[in-house]
Amino acid sequence: MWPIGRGDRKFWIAVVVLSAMVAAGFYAYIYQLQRGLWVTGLNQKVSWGFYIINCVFFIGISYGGAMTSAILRLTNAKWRAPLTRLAEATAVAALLVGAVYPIIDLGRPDRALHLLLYPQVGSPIVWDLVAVSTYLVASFVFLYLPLIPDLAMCRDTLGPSAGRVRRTIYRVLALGWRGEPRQERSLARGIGIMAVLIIPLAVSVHSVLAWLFAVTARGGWHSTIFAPLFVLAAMLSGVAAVILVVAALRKVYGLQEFITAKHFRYLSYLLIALGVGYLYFMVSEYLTEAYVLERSTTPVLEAIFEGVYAPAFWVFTVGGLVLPLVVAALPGRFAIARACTGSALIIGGMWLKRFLIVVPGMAEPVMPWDWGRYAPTWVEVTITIGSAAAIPLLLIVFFRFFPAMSVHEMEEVEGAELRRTSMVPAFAGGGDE
Amino acid sequence: MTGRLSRREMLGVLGGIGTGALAAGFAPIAFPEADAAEPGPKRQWAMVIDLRKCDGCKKCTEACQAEHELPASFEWIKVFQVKDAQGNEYNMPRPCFQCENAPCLRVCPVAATFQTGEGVVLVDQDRCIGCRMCMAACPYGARYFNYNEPPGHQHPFQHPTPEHPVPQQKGTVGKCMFCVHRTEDGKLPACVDACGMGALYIGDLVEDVATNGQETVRLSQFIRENDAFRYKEELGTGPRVYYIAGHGQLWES
Amino acid sequence: MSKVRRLAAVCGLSLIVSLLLAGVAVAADQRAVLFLETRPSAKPEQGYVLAARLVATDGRPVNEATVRFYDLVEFFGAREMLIGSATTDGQGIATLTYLPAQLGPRAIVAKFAGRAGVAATEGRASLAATVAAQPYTVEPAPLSAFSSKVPYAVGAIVLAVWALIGFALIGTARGVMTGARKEGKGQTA
Repeated sequence: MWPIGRGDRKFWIAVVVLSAMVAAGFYAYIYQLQRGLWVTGLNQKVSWGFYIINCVFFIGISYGGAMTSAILRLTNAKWRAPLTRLAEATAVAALLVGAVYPIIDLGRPDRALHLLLYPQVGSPIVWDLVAVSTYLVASFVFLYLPLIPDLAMCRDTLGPSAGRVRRTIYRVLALGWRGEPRQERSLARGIGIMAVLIIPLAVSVHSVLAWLFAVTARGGWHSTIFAPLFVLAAMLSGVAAVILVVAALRKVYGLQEFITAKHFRYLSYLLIALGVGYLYFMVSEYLTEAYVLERSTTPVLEAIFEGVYAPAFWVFTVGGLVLPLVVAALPGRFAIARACTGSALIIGGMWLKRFLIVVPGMAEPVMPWDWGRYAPTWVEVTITIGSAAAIPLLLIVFFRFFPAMSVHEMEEVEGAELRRTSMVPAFAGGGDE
Repeated sequence: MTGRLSRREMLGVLGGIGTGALAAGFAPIAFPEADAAEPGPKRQWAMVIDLRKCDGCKKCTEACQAEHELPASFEWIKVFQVKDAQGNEYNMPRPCFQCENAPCLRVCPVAATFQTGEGVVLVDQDRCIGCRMCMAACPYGARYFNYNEPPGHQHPFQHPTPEHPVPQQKGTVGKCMFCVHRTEDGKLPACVDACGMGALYIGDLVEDVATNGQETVRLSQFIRENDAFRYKEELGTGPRVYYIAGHGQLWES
Repeated sequence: MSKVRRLAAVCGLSLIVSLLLAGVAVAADQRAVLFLETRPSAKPEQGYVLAARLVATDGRPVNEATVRFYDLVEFFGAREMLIGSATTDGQGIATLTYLPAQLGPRAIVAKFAGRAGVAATEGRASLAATVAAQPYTVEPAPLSAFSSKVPYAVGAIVLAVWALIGFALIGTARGVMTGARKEGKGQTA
């Protein structure tokens, strides 16, 4: 979307702009650290807000890796080949950002170690800690293993201009890869294990995040469908994020000949399937609650269908779910533009949906008092923007040093002959030192 | 080559053992359960609130805030003005219910909230990390988060304990603890002492007695004769506060 | 002479009136005595019967009188816990069945609040309780036997997952490294 191209200047401009946003986020956090959580819009009734929303949102975005890379790998969908690296890297970047948010939300982050020293196994937050850390490690491994052959290619093709430190890193991380059959077998087995493992891990992470809400007795939260709902929402937002990242970096790194409209059409199909599934889960949840109209759930339903949160809810349902699916499903031209529009709307809608889960659930009266109210302050908004900027920053820095497409996989799957010269453009700024 | 391989291997194995040990450390820690009452005289604190006598003066709230140096937004015992289905209003004081099956106990990630042998749920503000999961889990809204430093006096030599959490610590959660720091000295809880209508009774389920400072009743009898109920007990929380239904009729002339 | 007689008459009259009034007063303040005794109930599981006999000083029983029974407890100070009330019958006896909450010695007080013509009075007795009500127990949470085992099962699964990840990473690394041709391009560990 923004043509960085091979010129270093545009790369550095992007890095500076994104870093400034991230730095602003850091500043806002330090401000909060010094003064206390009263600088946020949180209060006694609504004690969870933007930070928890963002935690769920960003971890949800990381599901693109599991979906695109793992599931497509296991179903042997050949069209995945140019996309897996981008998807896996996005997953790790989004996960790193999302996993930091619970720390940002803590009232006493200086005591974060207590989570490791005195964990109580019955607590959903401990489940969260175990699941997210396991998933983070697994995502790193799942990113690294398919990277080994490409690192070997970097080791072999990049000349002395790449710098000694960089070449040493490539050599070390490549583990002596030569493309020999025995090595291929080892690698295939390792990647296969991780591909199988990362799917239940991904399911477990968002299920645990859902149970953070669903194991409380609050009307808007105590729903059995929360875990599947969250997992599907995460997959949806993950695939949408992958579409956006792939479209952007395809333009930036000039990968048009490898990633075509066909890929976007197939990704759109995935998006539509997940979106329709999500709609189904939503209907199931609201129908069962709205039919009985229990006193515990009815206030939340009223608030999101007709009340204070109705604008957000209908914007999400129509503009963030139905409309993008329709746009993506339309046949015809501009597949990439339609897929990107749909994805952007879905990502925005998914953030809104997380907001609609957290805030009305907290604001709903649990005692005979008034509804709670929540309005974020500049601290929360700045940290949100900073963390959102951190993901593209991490990605473009990562792809400065590592290939944006999995050469090995593309050769293996599509039989393309992609060595050397044709892959140099895959590096942002590669070969220009 | 072999030497280097085994070093890498060893690092991997050590890493695996380390993380395995970390994960294994989680396993033996069980859910905290309320101590089963042993046969013998062990107290189990409870309260009875007579809604026929409450006039909504909120002296209980003020006394509690004064006793624990709380900010005005902290109403550990909060008096609700409730409107029933017919539109009639009555006052309902709500302390923490010290639930036998407390949701806040289960969800605390660091076991900062615990239940004493006498049934009171306390918060260790030295351990609390301020995640506020307990506040999300409490169905009675009885827990309060210290977004800021509490107002009040300086206590240079007093470090707050779970039994006497004064002053409150910023960034942690606090709640009504049946004034265990007073009851262990034989003093009535601050709210019971301050109630001018005698609507709040502090009681012991084991000794089967309750008093509001003036009159003393047999707890089980008082509850049964007045058809006392517990609030939202269908949630399975096992609250220890009994309400006698009413609308302040005993102080209306 | 008539003055003296008038004075005597007034004195005598006032003496009679005051005597009458005193008599009335004495009659209004008639004392009563309350004898309290405790005995085990006919059905042992019902505990004890507290019998309060209210007798006026002239020996006549006081009937239709409300007697309140208290158990002395040490709860935030010494307090009298109301355990019930009963009305005296024709013999002036009021009974209450009482099953104490705890075993051991107890001190019972029965009080008569007084009414027109009878002064308030009280009587005390001690009770050595060898029978008591079921003690209050805190039930363990439902399903706790099952839910206490779940962490172990989940912990085992988590360990297995970490082991698999470790194997995938280390096994692949080993496989790749041992499959490499030795060309002097060694790696640092």
